[in-house]
Amino acid sequence: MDKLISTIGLALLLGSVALPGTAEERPRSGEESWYLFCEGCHRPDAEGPGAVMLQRRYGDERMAIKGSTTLAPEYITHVVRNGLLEMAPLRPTDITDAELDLLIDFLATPANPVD
Amino acid sequence: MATTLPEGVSSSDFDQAIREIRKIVGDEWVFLDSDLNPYLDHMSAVPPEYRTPSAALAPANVEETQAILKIANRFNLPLWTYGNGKNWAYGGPTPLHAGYLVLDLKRMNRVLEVNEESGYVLVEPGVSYFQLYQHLQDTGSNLWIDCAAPGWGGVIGNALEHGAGYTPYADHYVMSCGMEVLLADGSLVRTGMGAMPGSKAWQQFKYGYGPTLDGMFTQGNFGIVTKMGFWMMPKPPAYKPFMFSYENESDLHAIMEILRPLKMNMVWQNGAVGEHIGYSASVLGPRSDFTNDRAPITAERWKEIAHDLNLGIWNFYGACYGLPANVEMQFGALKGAMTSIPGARVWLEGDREPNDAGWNYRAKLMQGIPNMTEFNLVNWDGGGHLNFSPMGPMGGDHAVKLYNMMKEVTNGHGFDHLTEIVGTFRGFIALTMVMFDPRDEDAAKRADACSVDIIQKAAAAGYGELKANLRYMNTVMGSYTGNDSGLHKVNQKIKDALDPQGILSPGKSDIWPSSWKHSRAN
Ligand SMILES: Cc1cc2nc3c(=O)[nH]c(=O)nc-3n(C[C@H](O)[C@H](O)[C@H](O)COP(=O)(O)OP(=O)(O)OC[C@H]3O[C@@H](n4cnc5c(N)ncnc54)[C@H](O)[C@@H]3O)c2cc1C
Ligand code: HEC
Repeated sequence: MDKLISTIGLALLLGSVALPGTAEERPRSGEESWYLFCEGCHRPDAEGPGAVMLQRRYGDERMAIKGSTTLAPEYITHVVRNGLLEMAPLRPTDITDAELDLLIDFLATPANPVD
Repeated sequence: MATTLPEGVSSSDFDQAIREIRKIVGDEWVFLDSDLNPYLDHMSAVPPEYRTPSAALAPANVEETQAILKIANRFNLPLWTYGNGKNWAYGGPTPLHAGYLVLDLKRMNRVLEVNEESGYVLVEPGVSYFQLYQHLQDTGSNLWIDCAAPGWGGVIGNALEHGAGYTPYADHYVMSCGMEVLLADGSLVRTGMGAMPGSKAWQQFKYGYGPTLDGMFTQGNFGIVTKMGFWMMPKPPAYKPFMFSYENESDLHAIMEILRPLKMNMVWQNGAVGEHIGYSASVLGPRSDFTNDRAPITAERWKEIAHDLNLGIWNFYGACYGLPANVEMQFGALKGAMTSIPGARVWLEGDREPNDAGWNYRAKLMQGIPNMTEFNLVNWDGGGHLNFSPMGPMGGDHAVKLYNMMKEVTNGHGFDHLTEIVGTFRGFIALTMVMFDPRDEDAAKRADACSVDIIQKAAAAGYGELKANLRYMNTVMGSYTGNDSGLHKVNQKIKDALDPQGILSPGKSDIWPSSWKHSRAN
């Protein structure tokens, strides 16, 4: 019961967060586009359908696109705008051309930076 | 790529309209020719050219959309509207006919309000599940979202298609409260309490005064929804996901009989998602992981696969929500009932392998954490996918009948039977997926024929479809013909009254204004 009351209390405390109706700031960062449009499919494990398919087709080395040093920017752009077999394309209303450039930079950074 | 114009529109009128629209939304938000590639659907039974739009337009707000409507009315331009355009399995981002203009509302993506006190959000059509989830996380909200399996889907678009998720708030239209809608003539309407100036309860009470119109703006073409409210579930103190697995195909009858009172009395609080092993397997890997044989996978082979994956032939996922003691009591009741079938096994958090994608993504979905894992299904056999959802009343006889019927039809056309039986409060959905390689002409043709067969055979037995891929909207509406097609006729009359020219998504759900004498084939 305590937990429920504290949960309800928290909700009351937070109250209403009414945001002014301003448009979102664009371009989004590469990391943000990655989360909104790629990571769900390209997380490099069995829960990422893109990773699963790439692993089956080409083996473990090509499973992850995040941190890959072999994917050419033009190739990534082509795949994103036209799709590739089981992957559907994404539109400029999802990711603008400028955001795609930022995303491509983000992809080129290592997946697990060394501490 | 030569532009396919909307039927009956001259190229000079089209060019003039595009010039004027460019001034409204800006050059960079009008897409023509090869820029339309990402507006095509390569994953249906008909080739993408079949539905290539003439243009895509992406307004930033209501005012720009109103200005576009003015031009569309002047030049008779059919606008095919969506918010996220991720409606894969049902036509994706393409319009019903080649030549329509796509009205892509993805840029209208503001989360306008998050209200912790009343537990709701007010959003625009471009807001996706991933975006809303992240927004609530970032702002430290105590509210859960309820998402469809694909996290890139839209909160509004999914609800307008009568879509569903996996928490107790799964029925998205039911959990919506208050809409703002643009009509074809550009007038703006707020439904429910929102019609009152200064209303204090637009997102708290759906009805307001007078006829409730909200439902009319779902799965049809009577308006463009520009804002919509949704109730959000407060994070419960306790959450307990579970899975019951069953050894035999023939257990389905007993499962559904046991499930009926559990669902009706809300002991089982969320949707009871019963994956057949085919579905469970396809979330783990492509078809080639399981067989090299082109013939549909047999019952014997499914049994082996179930054994290899340490799953049942039937795998029913659900969860309990509430106070910790209630959750344990409720789970005890569910477990007692659901394990009365010989061979039943119970799976809880920690019982599956840590990397079991099947358990992991379900445990996320049932607490509203968006992901894309279910798209593993799309990899099954080359990417082509079509979904069907015949609806039956909860119970063993109907479930077995529909299951056998769908198996016969899909296998009969040479496809694996991939299905999930989802128990709702009074009925069940026999979700049936036709997976094929769209580059294989013969397979695409068979998928097309199989689709029509699924719809018609189920309808003949009294089980209607609750959604339709673009290609089969007329086939599905063609099964709702009672009282001299009374329902279809009233839809047509409303269309004639609100949109006589057919500006808004003509043909959606097979609803056309009477001025359109052409383009009735899908
Ligand atoms: C593997 C897989 C799993 C799936 N799982 C689920 C699931 O769990 N639950 C589920 O419900 N669906 C599911 N689907 C179906 C589909 O992917 C989702 O329903 C998805 O949310 C629909 O796409 P969207 O949200 O981008 O909608 P959109 O494409 O934006 O909209 C869908 C339709 O709604 C109408 N519409 C949208 N916005 C507006 C507007 N503003 N005004 C007027 N009309 C509008 C249009 O007719 C449009 O075509 C699944 C599909 C696949 C392939
Ligand atoms: C719906 C799931 C899905 C989403 C979302 C998705 N992809 Fe993919 N992607 C796939 C699949 C599946 C493949 C493998 C296709 C094949 O070869 O069979 C793939 C392949 C690719 C490839 C080819 C890699 C190679 O080694 O050849 C690139 C590049 C790629 N995706 C980039 C992206 C980017 C960038 C995003 C986000 C903007 C994204 N994808 C979003 C599913 C997805």
